[in-house]
Amino acid sequence: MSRSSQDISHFIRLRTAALTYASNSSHIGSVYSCADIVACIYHLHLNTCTREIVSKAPLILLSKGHACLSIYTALEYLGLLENYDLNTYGSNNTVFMSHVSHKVPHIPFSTGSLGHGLGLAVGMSLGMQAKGVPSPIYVVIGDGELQEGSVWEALMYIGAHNVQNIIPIIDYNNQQSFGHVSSTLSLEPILDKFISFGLEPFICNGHSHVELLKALIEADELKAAPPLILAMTTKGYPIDFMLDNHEWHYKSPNLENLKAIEEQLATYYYPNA
Amino acid sequence: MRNQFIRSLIDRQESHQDVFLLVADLGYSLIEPFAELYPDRYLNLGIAEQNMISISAGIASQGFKVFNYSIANFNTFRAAEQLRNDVDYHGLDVTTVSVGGGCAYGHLGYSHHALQDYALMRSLPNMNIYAPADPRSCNICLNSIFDARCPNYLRLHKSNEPCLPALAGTNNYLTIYSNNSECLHLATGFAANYLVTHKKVPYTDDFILMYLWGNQHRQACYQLISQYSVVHVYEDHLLSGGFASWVLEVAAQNECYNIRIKPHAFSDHLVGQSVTEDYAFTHYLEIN
Repeated sequence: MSRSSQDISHFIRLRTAALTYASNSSHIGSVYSCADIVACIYHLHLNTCTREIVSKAPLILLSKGHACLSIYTALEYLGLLENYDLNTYGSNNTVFMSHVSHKVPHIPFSTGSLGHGLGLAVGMSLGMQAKGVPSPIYVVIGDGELQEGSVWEALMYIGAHNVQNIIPIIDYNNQQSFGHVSSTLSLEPILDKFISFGLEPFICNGHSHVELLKALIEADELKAAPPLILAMTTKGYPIDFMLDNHEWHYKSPNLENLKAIEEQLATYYYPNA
Repeated sequence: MRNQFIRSLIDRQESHQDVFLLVADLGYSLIEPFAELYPDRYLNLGIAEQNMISISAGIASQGFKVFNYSIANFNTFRAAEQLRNDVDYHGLDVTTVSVGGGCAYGHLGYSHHALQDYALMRSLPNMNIYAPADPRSCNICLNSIFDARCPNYLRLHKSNEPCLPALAGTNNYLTIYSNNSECLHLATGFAANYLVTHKKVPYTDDFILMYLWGNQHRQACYQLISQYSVVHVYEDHLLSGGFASWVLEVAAQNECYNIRIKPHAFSDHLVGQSVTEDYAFTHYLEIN
């Protein structure tokens, strides 16, 4: 089976639409915002010959835990949820709770309250270095989440001590609960802030797999300073009625929405079909 | 207690090489021996307690025994959600060590008085509460912590606490006096030391220091108190959510209606007072 990054992101979006429809649950717009980021991380860890995960799943801390379906569906697609049934999503007593859960294989930490992922990643990195087995740790962070002080406590430490092996990726979609981040509590000038904390930011289109993969590889290779990827995204991408619309933080698709999503995804991923 | 803590930590690291000590810029003139011996296992994270607790959880996830140290309210209330979500929920081997339990910081004021820390920490389902009363019981607590891999809260007093004449122990408590009495005086933390030092407990009764308690230890408490008809419970903490409240909950859960339980906790009127610890005990803890 071919497992390109596009295949992974297509599956994430399709399966998320089906699951949020079936479970009447929220956050589809958030998943669509970071689906390409997550897909590219997993793709980097595939064996280029067999298209299977090299030895173990990459360490991804989804600090914006509400986008959990991006991780659950990617794990399912790659065959890493053996004996677990993702169709239980949204039902009573499922391990697949609607914020990312460490009860699911290959997920190191549960999150849900914002601002926890980076500090956890710093600890994991320090522990790995003490054991002599460093490994990249990807931390997917929402831009609204940057309003949490704990994020900056962790960034200050990462910058001051050049903590290695952490690759923070900001899902910069300019959306939070009530509308745009820029009109709620502006983060700008965000690049200046990251640079002043000692980080080296990489900016990319967060829906371009070419740009994302390039940024992820370059960030991993950077040793002079701790990297950070600012992935410019759009909430709900690429579905026209969800684009940049904070209502899709909350709404679940109805049957009509689901069909429209499936049609638009088919056109987006297979424009010449 | 503080010195015992750091001595025990050095011994553990020397023998097992599995310790990390994290501080949030507190512990001056205490932690230096550990930091000098094991600079790679010591981190001063700056004045950032939320970050310290998340980092503690991250390091513990890699198999290490992590101790984070600060003044009681700072690494508990300031980082409550990190303790709840990152440490306790994941059941990680992180020991949150606080200094200045109760009113030990006296005139430094309310910000430094640990009067509600038990209430917070004992609400966390996996958290063991360790509250020693003297250096010897502190050492017992640390040996217990070293033997297990779970979240712990170790509440220390400060320094120069006299050693108690403890007789015998279990996994949860030390018997200080034993007279086969119907009346038990049950204390946790430094309150036990104050009661002994100031001869506040009748020698004809039984007197026990419960140094380990929490949600995982309700049965041990029930087995202990069910042997008595009267139980006086002491703590240097407010009544709400504290040790005495926990004992009362255990008794109610087990329908121990034949035991008279009398709580002795700090009065809410202590809040905001600038007083010495001795003054707090004599004026805000009803003992008789």
